[in-house]
Amino acid sequence: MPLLEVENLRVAYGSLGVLKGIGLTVEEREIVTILGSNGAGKTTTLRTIAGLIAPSGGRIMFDGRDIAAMPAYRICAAGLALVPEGRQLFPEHTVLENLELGAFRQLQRGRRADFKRDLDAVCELFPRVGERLDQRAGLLSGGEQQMVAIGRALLSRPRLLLLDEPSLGLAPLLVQSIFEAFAKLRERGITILLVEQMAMLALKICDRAYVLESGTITLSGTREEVADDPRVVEAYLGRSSAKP
Amino acid sequence: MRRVTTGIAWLAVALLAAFPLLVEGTYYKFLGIIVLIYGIVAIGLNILSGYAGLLSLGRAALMAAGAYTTALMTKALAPLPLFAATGLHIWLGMVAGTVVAALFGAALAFPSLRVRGPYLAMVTVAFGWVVWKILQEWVSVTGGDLGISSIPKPQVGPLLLETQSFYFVVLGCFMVALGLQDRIVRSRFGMRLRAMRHSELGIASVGVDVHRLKVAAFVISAAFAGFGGTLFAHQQNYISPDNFQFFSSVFFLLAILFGGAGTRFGPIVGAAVLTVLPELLHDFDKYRLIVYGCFILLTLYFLPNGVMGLFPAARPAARAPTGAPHSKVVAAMPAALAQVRGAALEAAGISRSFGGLRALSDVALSVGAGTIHALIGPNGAGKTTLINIVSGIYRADAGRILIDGQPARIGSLHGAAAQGIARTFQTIKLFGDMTVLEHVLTGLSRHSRLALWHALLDTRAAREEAASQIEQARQLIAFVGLAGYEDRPATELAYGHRRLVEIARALAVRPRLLLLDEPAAGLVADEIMALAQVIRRLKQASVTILLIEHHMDLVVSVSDRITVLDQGVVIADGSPSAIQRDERVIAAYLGPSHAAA
Repeated sequence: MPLLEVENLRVAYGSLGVLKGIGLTVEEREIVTILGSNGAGKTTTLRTIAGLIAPSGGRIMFDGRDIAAMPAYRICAAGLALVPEGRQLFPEHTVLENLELGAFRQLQRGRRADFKRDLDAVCELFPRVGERLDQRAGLLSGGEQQMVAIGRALLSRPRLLLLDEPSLGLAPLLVQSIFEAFAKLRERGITILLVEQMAMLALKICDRAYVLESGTITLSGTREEVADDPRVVEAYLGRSSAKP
Repeated sequence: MRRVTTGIAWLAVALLAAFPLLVEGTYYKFLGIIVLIYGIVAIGLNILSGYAGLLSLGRAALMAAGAYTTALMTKALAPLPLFAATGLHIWLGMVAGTVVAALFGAALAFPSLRVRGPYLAMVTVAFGWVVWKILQEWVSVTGGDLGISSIPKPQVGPLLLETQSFYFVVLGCFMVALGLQDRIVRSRFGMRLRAMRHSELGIASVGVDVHRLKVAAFVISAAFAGFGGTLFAHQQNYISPDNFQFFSSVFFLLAILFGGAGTRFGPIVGAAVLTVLPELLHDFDKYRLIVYGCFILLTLYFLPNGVMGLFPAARPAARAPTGAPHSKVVAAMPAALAQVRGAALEAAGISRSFGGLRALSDVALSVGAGTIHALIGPNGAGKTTLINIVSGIYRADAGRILIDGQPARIGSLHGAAAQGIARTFQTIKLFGDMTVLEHVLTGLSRHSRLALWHALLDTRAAREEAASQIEQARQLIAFVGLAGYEDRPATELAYGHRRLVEIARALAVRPRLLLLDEPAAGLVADEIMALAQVIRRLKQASVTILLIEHHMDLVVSVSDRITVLDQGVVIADGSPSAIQRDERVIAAYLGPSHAAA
C-alpha cells in the first residue's frame, strides 16, 4: 500500500478549475517530484494534501486513511509536514523558538535529547542557522528564513514531508547542500513529495516524477523516463542543460 | 446580471423617493431622515475603514464638530435681516461645519501615521471621549449638558422646510454622497487607498506618500461625518452631548460591518437596519436590547462579510488566460517606457548595522547608465540591505549615493520612486485581491496630470486619461508575459507570476533605475528564459537595472557586470566571465558546479 495515494483530486477557485482530477502515489521512503510551470497547480496540490484547501472532489489516502476532509492540524499530527512557499516563520520569535515549535510534539513527550540531536543535524546542514539561533527570525535575510523553515519541518520528524519550492531564494552552493540533505533523509525513513522549479536538481534526487500542466497530469514515470522526455527538456530543464 | 442589479438600484431609489408620500405622520418621515443622515456618515466611514482599512471609532466626535459649528453659527447669524430673508446662514453653517469636521479629521489622522489596527481604533476612541468631555465642560460655548436648543430650521429663501421637504433635501444629499463614494473609490486616490490597505510598502514603492494619503482619507471621511452632523443639527433643532456618545461611534462601525464593509450599498443597508430595528422591537420591551444584540451577533456570525457580502461584486467571468506567460510571442515595447533615460548609480563607503550586526561595511558599487548590473552573494550577505538603502527604505550609517553624478537625497521609498528609482520585493508586496490591471494602474497613477476633482465629476479628460492608462497598463502586462491575466485577482496567481506583476507595477513608474530583488525565484526554466528576454529588452529601452538573483544562468546571460557581496563586504567585482573564475566567489557562493570551465 502506498503511503500517499491521491485519486481524481479536484479543486476549484470560484468557477475556475485549478486541479481537474489528478492522481498520484508516493510509496514509503520514496522521493517523488512534481514538475510544472507557474499556475499549473503544484502549490495547490500540496496545500490540498496538507488540508489547507478543501478539495471539491476526489480522495486523498494517507497511510490507509482518507484525509481529504480532515482538518490541517490532525493531518499534521498524523505525520505529514508541509514546508510552505513563502516561509511563514514567526518573525517575533527567535530562530530557536521557531525550530522548537516545529518539534513541539517531541518536546511535549519530553524527548529533549532527540530534539537536541535533530537540532544539531539541522545546524550541521545549515551552519548559518546554528550561528543565529538567538536572533529574531524576522531579522534574518530571506534565504536564511528559508533554511529555518526547512529546519522546522525536519524537526517535526514527519513520515511524509511536502516541500514547496525549497530552493527559493537560496544561494547555489546551499541549494546543492539541501538537495543532498533531502537524499539523506530517506535513510531516516522520511518520504518526500517535492515541488521544485529547479527541475534538474529535483530529477537528480527523486525516484519518480509527475508533470502537471493546467491542472492535469500529462506525464509520469521514473526520473530517467521523465528527464528524457523532449517536452520536459524544453520547458523545465532549459536547453543548456539537456541532461541531468 | 448587471441589468438586474441596475433595476434593483432604481427600484430602491424610487421607493426612497416615494417613502414620505406612502407613510402617515411625521414620525416615520423623521425616521427616514435619520436613516439617510446616518447613511451619509457611514459612507464616509466606509471609505476610511471599509476601503482603506483604517479603523476609526471617532465618528460621533466628528459629527459633533459639524453639528455644533453650524448650530452656533446659524444661531448667531439668524437675527440678521439678510439671512432671515434668504436662509443663507443655514447653508453657510453646513459648509463651515463640514470644513471644521474635516480639520478635526486631519488632527485625528496624525496618530494613524504611527499606529495601526486596533491601536488606531483605541486612539480614535480616546479622541471621541475628549471631544465629548469638552462639549460637556465648556459650558459658555456649548451649553454643557443642556446643549444648544432652537437651532434654526432649514429654509430655502424665506420658506421654512417642513419634515417632508427636508426629507427630499437629505435624500438628494445622500444620493450625491453615494455617487461621490463610487467615484472616489474608482479614482486613482481610491485605488491607492485600497492598495495601501494591503501593503503600505507596495504603494510607497510606486511613489505614493503614505502619510499624505492617510491624512487625505481621514479628512475626506471626516467631511462626510461633519456634513451629516450639520443635517442632524438642523433636523433636530436641539443637540446635546448625549447625541454624540461613544455608542454612536460604535453604531457607525457596526453599521458598515453589518451592511458590508468596502461595498457600495453596505453603509446604507447597515444604517437602515440598525436604526429601524430597535423601533420595531418596542413590543419586546425590556428584552429589546437583548434581541437587538443577538440579532447583530447572529448576522455577523453567519454573514462575516455583511449583508452585501452576499452579493459579491460582478467580476468578468474567470477564464483561462490566453497567452501563457512562457509563450514565445514577443510583446511590443510599452509606450510607458518610450522616453525613459537610464540613470547611473554610484555608491561609495556604504555601511549599515542592525543592533550589533554589521550588515554592510564600506561597500562600493558603480552601475553605468543603461547597463545591467548583478549583485550576488551568499544568503545574508547584505544584498537586500543595499538595495533597501538605494531605494530609501533604510538610511545608511555612512557613505554616499550619487545618481547621475549628483548626490541623491532619497530619504524615503516614495521619494526614491519620485526620482525614478523603482523596485520589486523579495517577499512580494502586492495588493491582496486587486486585479493585475489595478496593480499596474497604481504604478501609472503618479503620471496622472489631472486633479482629483476631474475624477469626482467624471469629466471627459478624466475618462480619456483613464482609458489611456488602461491601455498603457495592458501593454506593460503583456510585456512581462502576463497577457490574459489582466482581470485576475493577484491572490489567484502562482507565486512566480506574482513576481512578474511586481515587475510590471515597477515599470509603470517609468523607472530610470530598476532594482529587482530575486525576480526569477519561483520560475521554471523556460519562464526564466522569457524573463531574461524581458530584462534584455528593458536594456534596449535604456532602463538601468540592478539585479539580485541566485539563478546563475540568468545572471551570467544578462549582466554587463557583477558585484559579489559576502558578509557585508564586496569580495569581487567584474565581468561575468571573470566572476565565474574567481576563486573566492566559487568558494563562498557558486560551488564547483557553476564555476566556468
